[in-house]
Amino acid sequence: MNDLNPFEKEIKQTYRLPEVNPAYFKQLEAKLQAKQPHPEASARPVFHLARGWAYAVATLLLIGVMVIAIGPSKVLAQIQAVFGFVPNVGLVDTSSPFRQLAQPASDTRDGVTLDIQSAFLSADGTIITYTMSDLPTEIKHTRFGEPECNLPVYLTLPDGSRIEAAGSSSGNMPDGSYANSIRFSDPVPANFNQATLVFPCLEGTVRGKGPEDWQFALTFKPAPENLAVYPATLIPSQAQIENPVLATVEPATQPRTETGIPVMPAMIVDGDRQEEMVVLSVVEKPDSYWVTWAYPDKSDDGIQRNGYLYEQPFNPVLYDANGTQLPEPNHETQLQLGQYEESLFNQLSGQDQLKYYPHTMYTIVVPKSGVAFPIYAKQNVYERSFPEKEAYVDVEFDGSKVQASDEPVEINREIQIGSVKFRLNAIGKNQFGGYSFLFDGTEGNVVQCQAGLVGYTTNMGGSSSFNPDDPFHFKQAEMYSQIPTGMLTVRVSQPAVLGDLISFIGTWSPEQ
Amino acid sequence: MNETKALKKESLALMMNEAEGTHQTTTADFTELYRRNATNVFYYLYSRVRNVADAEDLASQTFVTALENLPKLRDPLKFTPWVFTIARNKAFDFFRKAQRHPTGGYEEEQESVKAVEVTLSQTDQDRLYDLESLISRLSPLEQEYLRLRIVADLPFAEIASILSEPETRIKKKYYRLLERLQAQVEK
Repeated sequence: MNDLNPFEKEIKQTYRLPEVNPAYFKQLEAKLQAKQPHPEASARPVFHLARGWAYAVATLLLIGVMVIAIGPSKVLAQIQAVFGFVPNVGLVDTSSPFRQLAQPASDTRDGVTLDIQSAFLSADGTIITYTMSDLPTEIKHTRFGEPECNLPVYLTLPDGSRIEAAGSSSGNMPDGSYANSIRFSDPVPANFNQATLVFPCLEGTVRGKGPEDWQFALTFKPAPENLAVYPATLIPSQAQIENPVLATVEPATQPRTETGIPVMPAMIVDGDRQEEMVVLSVVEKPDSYWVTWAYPDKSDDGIQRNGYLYEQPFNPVLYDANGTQLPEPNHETQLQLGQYEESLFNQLSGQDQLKYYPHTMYTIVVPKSGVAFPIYAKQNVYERSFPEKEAYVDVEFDGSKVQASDEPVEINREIQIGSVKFRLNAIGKNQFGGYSFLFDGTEGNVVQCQAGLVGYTTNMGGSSSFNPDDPFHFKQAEMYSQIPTGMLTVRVSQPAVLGDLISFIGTWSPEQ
Repeated sequence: MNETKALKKESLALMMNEAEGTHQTTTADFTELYRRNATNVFYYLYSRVRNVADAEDLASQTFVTALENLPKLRDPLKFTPWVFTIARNKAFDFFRKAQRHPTGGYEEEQESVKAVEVTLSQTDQDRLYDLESLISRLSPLEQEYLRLRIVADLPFAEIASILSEPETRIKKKYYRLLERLQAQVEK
């Protein structure tokens, strides 16, 4: 279940979702069951796994706190990183010693067994991993509309204070059981090595059924010194501005061969001007670095729809000193990178969170071998501006004629809003019930505008995606509950004018 | 957490069958998959058609189609995005066939509006209406991001699979969209 923030919850309210009708879902379930074949295989237990699949599933889905011994983390001390990356835990504060569970705890109630397997405590949070046996049918939440347990797990400390879980996740273990991982944002103070883990009720059960207020006494001890902690360096953007090494990136510097011929990949050219892309963080893993780049985002909130000042039709390009492009990480690594970026986000300053995440932040995997350092990152974006925000032009047209025609009706009308000139070429009917306005912005470099019928409220609209190969022919569509017809007026406003192509360029090597 | 567990369970059941050389799920498997996805599919469809009867009808069509075509599902790990893809197509067909508009069911919607109004202050109501108006003016794709993430409660990886876009790009666009909406509604 997605953990919605308050604003997302507000958005959810706008859909005014009705209560579900349990009778409907039961009827449909019966209908589907009647339609299903009944293969003999259905008698097979659901959780039996062939060994090969068990390993495959385990590899793909293993979660929770995994403590992997790989030897002392010497580099950690060398670069004096405040943060470290612990696999399946994320970016953690290394300023105080880690702790872990002294011994697992287990208990059975109402036919359910909980095994508290591990815990990871750092200066900035706690993660506890447990497994739970299958829930008996009589307490399991299976029917739509039944109240489900959704009370958060919490820790109580010896002084009576309480820490509530901030999030959780789960997945398969090699034996087919599930492991659940609970994250607590607040740390357990270093002077407390005991805590009580409390489950007010069990997730997946019907509220009021099954174990309630289930408590586990936990004891913590120091984590072993050979814990796998990959050194991580966070570089606040403010520090980067003051840092002469990072601030003197020569954006125009391109990797060159010995002959001096630029070897920049042809697919991405140099922009009209260059700006700096900064490195926000680096994690050093045994055979690679995870480097997170960022550049600041900008938008104009005075624009009703799509007021971004950067158009980003391209993916970032990453290449080494020989001009060789770095490969995309595989899907599994990309998932890990996504999780890592989330933990990184929690560690950024509020200012940097607003500035970069998640619009303009990219984490890349840089192999330690086979790569010629320094590496370069380049993100080309088009700059846009909105020189006329208030002025507008009204154009009359025959809506009935448009709706009766299978082809767009030619309008061919010049639009001049302030100093910005472009054309409304044609108007067509929209398949979802409304009008599509076809523009040609070649003369004034216009790539977008607002267009709506005067006197009618649209309930859905959209514009064509930015096409870097033909940016000035664009479309604006408006849909209506009742399609207006007869003589209509379309109001055209807020043209977006395409500006320079900007290359955000950054460079990084392990020595930095 | 339950959602995650449900997802892994369905994956496990389906993968097991695949390991045995068949993509067919057992009766219990499909019922489980149905139970895990039915409410969210219904809510997603309701957010499209804004009418309970139509949403129920489309949800029924969706699951019947899924059941009939289950052997064609090549990657059993992708049941949820697959069934949502079917649901999206059903919604598109619905509007295309009837030349209907995404905000049909006006009377029913008004009933829901009243239900919401009871619990909200005037300020909150105004804000809700403003937000609704802003959302209605988003591009169809942006609206789809919100529906799939907030109404259908799908993780970004599955939204990426449904919309055939890179997950990172969707994530960026989604959060960017939220920020823009929030800035506009708070103006």
